[in-house]
Amino acid sequence: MEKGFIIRKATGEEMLALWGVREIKKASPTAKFFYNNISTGNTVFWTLDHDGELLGELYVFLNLEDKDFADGRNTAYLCAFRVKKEYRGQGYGSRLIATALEDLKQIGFGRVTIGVGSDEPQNVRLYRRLGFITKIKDCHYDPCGLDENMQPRYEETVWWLLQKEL
Amino acid sequence: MIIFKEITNANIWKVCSLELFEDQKDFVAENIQSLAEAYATRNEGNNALPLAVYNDEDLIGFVMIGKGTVGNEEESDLIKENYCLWRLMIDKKYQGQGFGKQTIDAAMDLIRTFPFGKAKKVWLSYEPENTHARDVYRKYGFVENGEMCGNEIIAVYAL
Repeated sequence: MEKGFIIRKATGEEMLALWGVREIKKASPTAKFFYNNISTGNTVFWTLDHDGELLGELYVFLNLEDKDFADGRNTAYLCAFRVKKEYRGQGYGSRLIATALEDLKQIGFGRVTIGVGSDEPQNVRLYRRLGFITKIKDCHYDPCGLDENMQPRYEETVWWLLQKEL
Repeated sequence: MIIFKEITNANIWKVCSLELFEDQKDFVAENIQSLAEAYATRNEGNNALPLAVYNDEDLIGFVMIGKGTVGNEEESDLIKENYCLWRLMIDKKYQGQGFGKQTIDAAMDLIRTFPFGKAKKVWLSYEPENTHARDVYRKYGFVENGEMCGNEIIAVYAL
């Protein structure tokens, strides 16, 4: 990787800063959910760091209520995967995912899931190239996108839960 | 549950050793040949996705989907613009247990995510003598449209 760029695990505080949240009390339900899960170790926050600036993020949920997404021992769920616009198309995202998957394999996980919108053809192609080639189901709820009652928010557009074997 | 895995060095030779019954061998290309075709198709910038089919942990078959040209000289708009269920085989040890239908379901689910971009149809072809394939795909909803692909009958499914 180019000088100054590293992929590393990051903290809940770094996640809040990246999302522009000053105080946890004022955070959105989703931000709170992410922060709490990172704090308890159920979620690993991977970032692409360039001299201290976070350019990319990827969150790995090890366990969730819906076991099709993550079951805490064999299947983990990837979400909020994004790289800053100016740095896309250079392979950083692929490396971010590859690092996270290698780590999951080391701790005994055999498969990962990821969600993609039915209206996001570019992401579908990207995920296929990355090996997400089995569709598990259609979804209207993202278990990590919460409403004000801390419940998964209903989404009008269908999105697909895809899976990759490690 | 049926899951697909990429063909890698970890499974390629197992995939190539999957076998059909003797009387089925004339109807489906060997997997090693399909992989060679997939390689050539991709080298030309076109779409071929060969996949190993697993039932949970067990390797049970092989499937290949494509979109656009399949390398013939003259191709209709149907072929140029749509998805193709290019190959599908279930190893003889695992036939007769409903895995063929489940594999078609999983392949159609994958196609409906449009991994190579939007399209309206899926097509496939079989030899006129392959009455088993004809029955299976007709039951699934594929309809013969009168076109041929070489000496094979084309059947089409509207997405």
